[in-house]
Amino acid sequence: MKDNIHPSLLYAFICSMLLIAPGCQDFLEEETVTQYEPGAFLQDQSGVDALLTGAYAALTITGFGMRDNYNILGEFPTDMAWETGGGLNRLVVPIIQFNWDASTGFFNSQYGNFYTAIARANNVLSVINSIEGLEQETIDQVEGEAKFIRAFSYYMLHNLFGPTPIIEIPAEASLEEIESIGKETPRATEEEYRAYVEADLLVASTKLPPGGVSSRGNQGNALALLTKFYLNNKQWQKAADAAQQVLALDYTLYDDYTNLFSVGGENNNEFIFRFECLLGSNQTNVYMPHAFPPNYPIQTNWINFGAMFRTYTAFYETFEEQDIRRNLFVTEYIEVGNTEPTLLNRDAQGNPLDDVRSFKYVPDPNAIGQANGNDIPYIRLTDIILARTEALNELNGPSQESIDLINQVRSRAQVSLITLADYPSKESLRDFILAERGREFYSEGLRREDLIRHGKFIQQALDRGIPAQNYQVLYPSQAQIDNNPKLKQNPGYN
Amino acid sequence: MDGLPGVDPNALSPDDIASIEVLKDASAAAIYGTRAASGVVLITTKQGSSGKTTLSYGGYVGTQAVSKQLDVLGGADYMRLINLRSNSMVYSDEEIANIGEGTNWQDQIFTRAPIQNHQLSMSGGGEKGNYYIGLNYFDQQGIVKSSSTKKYNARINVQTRPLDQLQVSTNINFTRQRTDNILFSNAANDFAGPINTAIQFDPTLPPTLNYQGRYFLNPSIALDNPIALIEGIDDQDVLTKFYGSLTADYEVTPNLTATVRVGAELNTARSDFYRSRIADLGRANGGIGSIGSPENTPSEYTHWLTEYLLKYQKSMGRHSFSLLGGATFEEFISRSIGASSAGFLSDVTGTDLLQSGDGELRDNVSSGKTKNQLNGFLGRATYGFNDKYLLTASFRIDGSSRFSKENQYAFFPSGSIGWRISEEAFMADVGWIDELKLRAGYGELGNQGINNFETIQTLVAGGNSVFGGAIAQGVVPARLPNPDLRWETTAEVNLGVDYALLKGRVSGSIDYFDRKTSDQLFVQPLPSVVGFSSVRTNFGEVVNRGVDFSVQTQNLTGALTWNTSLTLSFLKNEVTKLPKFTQELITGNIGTFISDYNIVRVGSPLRTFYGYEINGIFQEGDNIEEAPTPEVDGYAAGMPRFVDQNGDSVINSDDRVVLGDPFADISFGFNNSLRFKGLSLDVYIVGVEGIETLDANVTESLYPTNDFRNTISRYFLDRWTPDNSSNELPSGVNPSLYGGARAINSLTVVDASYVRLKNITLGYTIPLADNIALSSLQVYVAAENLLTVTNYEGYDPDASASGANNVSKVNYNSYPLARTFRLGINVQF
Repeated sequence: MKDNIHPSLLYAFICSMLLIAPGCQDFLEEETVTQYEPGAFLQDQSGVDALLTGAYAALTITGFGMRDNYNILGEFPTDMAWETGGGLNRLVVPIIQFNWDASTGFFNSQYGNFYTAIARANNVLSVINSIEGLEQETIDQVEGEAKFIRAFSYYMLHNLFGPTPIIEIPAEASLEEIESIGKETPRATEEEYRAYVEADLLVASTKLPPGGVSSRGNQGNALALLTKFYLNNKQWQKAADAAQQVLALDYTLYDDYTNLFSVGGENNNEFIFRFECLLGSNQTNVYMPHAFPPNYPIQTNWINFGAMFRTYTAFYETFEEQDIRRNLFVTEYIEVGNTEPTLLNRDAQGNPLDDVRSFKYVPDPNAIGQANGNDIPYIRLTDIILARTEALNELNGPSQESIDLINQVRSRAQVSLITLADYPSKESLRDFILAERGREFYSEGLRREDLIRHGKFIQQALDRGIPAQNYQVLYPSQAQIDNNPKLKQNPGYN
Repeated sequence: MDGLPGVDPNALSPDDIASIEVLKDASAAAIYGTRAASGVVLITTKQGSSGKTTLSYGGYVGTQAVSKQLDVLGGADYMRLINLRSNSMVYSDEEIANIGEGTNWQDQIFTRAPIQNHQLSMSGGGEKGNYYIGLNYFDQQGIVKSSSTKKYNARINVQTRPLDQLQVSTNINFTRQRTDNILFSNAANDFAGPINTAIQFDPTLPPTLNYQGRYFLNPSIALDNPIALIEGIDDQDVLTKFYGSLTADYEVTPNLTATVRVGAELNTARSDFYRSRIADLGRANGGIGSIGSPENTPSEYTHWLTEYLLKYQKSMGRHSFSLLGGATFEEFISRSIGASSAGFLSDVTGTDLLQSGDGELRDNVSSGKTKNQLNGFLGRATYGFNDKYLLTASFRIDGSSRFSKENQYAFFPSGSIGWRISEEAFMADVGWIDELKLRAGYGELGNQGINNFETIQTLVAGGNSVFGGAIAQGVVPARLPNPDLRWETTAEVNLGVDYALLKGRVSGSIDYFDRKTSDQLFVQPLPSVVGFSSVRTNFGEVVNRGVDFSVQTQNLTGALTWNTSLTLSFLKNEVTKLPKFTQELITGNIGTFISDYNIVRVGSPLRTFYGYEINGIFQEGDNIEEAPTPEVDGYAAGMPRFVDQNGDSVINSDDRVVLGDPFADISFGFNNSLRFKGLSLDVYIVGVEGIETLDANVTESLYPTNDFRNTISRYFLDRWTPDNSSNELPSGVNPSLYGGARAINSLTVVDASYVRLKNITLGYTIPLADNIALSSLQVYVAAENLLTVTNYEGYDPDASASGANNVSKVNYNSYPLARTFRLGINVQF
């Protein structure tokens, strides 16, 4: 039998075994075909810019994120707006009714999003110093913007949840170290938290130039955010001073309020910090499909969701008739296929319907389904004007300067001007400022924080017949407590 | 599949299969390495045999229909439901009196559909080789309108012996499959598919066009019209799959065989999706079209295999030995490409003219590529003494490119012993035992179940933003890498008995297995403050224990033969270890609004359903004030009585308990086969017992996402009312008071056990005269899914919305089960 072996074949077999075996280590090499190795990618400014852009992407509040933050969390628990219908209603009712609990998804997603932005900003800060050959100017710019992103995120978290943990992860931290930072970092104290955010914004306002696009950090919006942080923390003198610094910069009020929030009004110098929306990008404005009433005659390229965002009659009626800001509400319309108008403010008998629709983000004629291109402002010049007014009033009571500032806002809205004599006391002016802020900033997500600062958030809910509790000025977040034994839930929630 | 691992078993014609062998013992499966952790199925396809050329044809035609519809409310009851939910007279008594039954939307989208299959095979051979050729055509129209599958399959198997010591075998298979899908997604609301919509849509609207030429919509319901979703959506997948292998077996000596195998799978896939202006979203977008590949399927997939084996066998008297050694190398490359646009000039061109969209505004392109490699070394030694004692020891070293250098390779040993007791002298007198064999085995297997790059940090494109009216490209860190990831190991102990009794009248086996999966590769949640909400870890331990029985009996022999075969499996799944610090892991999300229904906890099966137990309904006169209820105002009669598990008089998240699990405790298959002369009757019954599912259609009925959606009838008609003091179904008034997280409860997590008459076939083999060209001719009628006995209310207790790669079992939007009748013929020339 031995004669029958074909030596050549056996030889070929053994060779191929031997040839391949030494190459095994190479055979299992993992190639990063569609992803970038950080060391190779982050060699120059363009790499760092891309990393910074990625951090902005986590921070940006557009699309359904804007709906969750501005409308659902920012306005539905207030005197301004509420919601019925659609698949959304089931999730939103607990917010409107003040019976939310820690497991509510909105809270956890906000918490997660802003910490993602913080982690990405921290990552930018840790790589910026390790790249050689960058100009100092570039380093300052990147550091300033990263700190702005970080501060904005902490600002938003503070608004929603009170002080949360302050997280910094060393550049070379192992997975275990990262995990234990996540699991063991306690909440910062209010003082630590304020100092941290303030320091970041001061760095940003020093290192960044005043101009530039209003959708990225710059000196103006860093100071504006600082103003609002001071204001919400009732640090009145600091708020007044920071506001004054912003007012000294080159911002101007846009003439036509009714056009300010349309796509055509985007080219304004009033939005101090905004989230840009652009059709064809992943940042769009999806507010309007929630605002169209049923069977509203929409263009064929628009869409009308089942979820209905409604404005309370009582709030709508706080506007003077000549107030042009009121023109952005729809109070009656003719349904498709009907001839008689459908009423939204009050029915024929005069009963309130609480169904006025805010069309503030004027439908984009080129909208694609739900996606509209209207930019979303976060801080506008009037916000800073009214912030200074409010801070001055808290410090020294009514003054002519305060009245003049308020009248800047009111004259642009084409409503009656007020005089110092109308508001003799600090309390009366304070209430007026809050009411004016409502008329100025409806549908912009600021109502909850304004009411909380004025101590009226819970009281107004009780007045609407909702069993709100004092602890509900802060939202809870369950997922975080689950994973961090050192964190305690906000008081009142279990 | 003919030595090529990982081939999709759908990518062949079932008629080409010669044998299917299932290796359940880990010791036997272990040699097949990674991917064999849950057992190995060896499929061998047909070969020709030397001698006469045979030509055969097998085919059937049949018809299919939906086996069960959901009983939802008709027009009048729907109107009453809406009036109840809105607490006002949305519909007047007169409208209710006039509406009648309204539209049954399920009738509108379901249809009776034909099915046919044709197989032509030819085989033959001579001294130096043989061949087999199979051609198959399969055409199944869907029982939901606008769905269908067409498949063409061709196979060529050739074996030749160019030298006495060398045998070369080639298997080549080509499949082309075209599938038209319905919009089948787990999305909710305006994005939901036609099945979900047909259950929930407004039955008072007619199934016709309105004066604008569109299908009717209910503006409050946030669902598209079911017919519009059928007619307005064109979703087609075309898969082309080629695989083949070339195997050379060379007898170095009569005892030593060397084998080289080279194999390849080359697949392409393309999916076209077009949403026309008939559908609501398509209208708003001016048509949406995209070309890409089906979910989890790359546009182009290439899998190369090279395998070298050396086998040595020797028998010396009563001793027999064998040795096997080898190495395998595999490479997997996936490439994808996609393009989409919207705002088309016209719907006519569908996805065939994407450039007629609105240009850069919504043009989108994408592409991707992944590559990974596997390398294994294996060895096996067996020893047998007198066919009485059998010993096997084997090992496998597996390497994967997905792990970091330090953890790339892992060693997996296995071994088994067998004792054929019936060969012992002392058994010689026991006449009723033909054969009795005891088996014991142990095997370890590795699983590389992670994605590429999970051990290294990379930056990925994405995270774009808009600055100054222009899109800026961003990058973001892809993940928190875990460089310490290592192979997940499944260690299994098997004990088994094979038996044949009473001259072969009774035979079968009993198998016990204990499968422990440790270092399980799992996505572990992290506190999201670190910027990532999860990290892949080797996490915890899961044990599956079970017993499989199989019994084959020949009940009758003679002119009438009756054989039965029963397989019975008992399974218990349990999580036995979790890392410290990780709290109870509660996950799950489906249909956007149903979430957090699974728990992973030590002592329970993996992804057990977790929620609230309900033990009745509060009746009028009950002391609800004092009773444990959720902390809400207005808890009233007609609302569920939740069980206060911890006795603190309040119903909150601490009162959640395990409500069921997605694993069957018992599953069985029972086949009866009767033969009388040319007649044959086969009856196959299957069933499972002790398995639960979360039924999202029940959730929707009890807790409507939207008040205008229709409901399963009994949740409205049999609900608690002051006059109907039901103790089972709540009143439906103010369901948010007992809903929210409490929607996961013992009313919505339901039993999914069933017994099903899976197949019944009556055949007749026509006696043939010797002088005709046919050598055999058989005709048959067959029926599938004739009867299902179950308490489950939905379409199919066996369905799962999350697909096969997720063990969680949630019923949502699932395709209904078909009942099929077929008429078939098998001819051999």
